[in-house]
Amino acid sequence: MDAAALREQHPRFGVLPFDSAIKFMRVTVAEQDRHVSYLKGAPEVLLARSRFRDDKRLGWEAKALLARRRGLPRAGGRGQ
Amino acid sequence: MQAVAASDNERDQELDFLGLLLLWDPPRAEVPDAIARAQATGIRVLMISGDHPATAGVVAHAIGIQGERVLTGAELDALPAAELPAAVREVNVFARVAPEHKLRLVETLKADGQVVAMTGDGVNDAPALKRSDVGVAMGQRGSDVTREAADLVLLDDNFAPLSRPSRKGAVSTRTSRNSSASCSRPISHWCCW
Repeated sequence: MDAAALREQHPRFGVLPFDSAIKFMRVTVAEQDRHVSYLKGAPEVLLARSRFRDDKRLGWEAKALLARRRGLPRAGGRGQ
Repeated sequence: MQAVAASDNERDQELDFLGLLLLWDPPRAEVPDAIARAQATGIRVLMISGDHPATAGVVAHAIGIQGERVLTGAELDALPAAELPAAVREVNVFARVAPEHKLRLVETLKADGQVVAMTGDGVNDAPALKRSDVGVAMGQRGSDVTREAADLVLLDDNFAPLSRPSRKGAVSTRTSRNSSASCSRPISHWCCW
């Protein structure tokens, strides 16, 4: 993936920097004839803002929680 | 997550899920040893984290901070003021906290008669660093505001030396911008952000 080319093709329209009070950040870029926002942040915060119905949302929250519980890799290794 | 933005009226609701990415940002190698030394000299070490309670709990155990109970910022808010001192006496790990919680925790400990050292690197940490008995900022990763508010600045961001001099009841370190900082009583609590 060519980051520089992507940036050129999709100029940034707006940025909301990460803020620990809201726990996500947002960039809005031009894609063809419309603007699309991409958000990145705490899973449970963004999942609560998603279109998911409760069952699906809870499923992904559980996945995120399990990964956190698994947490630390064994000595010397990286996360899974 | 993505959403179609309507001109300058960007939406943060009804998002389409794109994926879940796991990042692992391990504690620094010197941390467990520094905490063990601090604990051996009678200093209670607390962790105050913006992270999820499950992550905070796993990391706390990995670096030698004991206790099953993790209190979140929302739980702190819901706690009646009268119950706060007892909770802060019992719980060592605080998660998903907002900047104002850090200040509240430091103030609660101080009101309880404790001497508090606080480390931090973010702009948000500055008020709590200022309010603590010994505010310690990170020199490398830290923000200017945080360094200004601190009594000590760790030029190499290594806080292992901190737990050693405190045995004498004063903190002094050559890595500091200021030549030394001291307090009249031994540090009893050390809050790491």
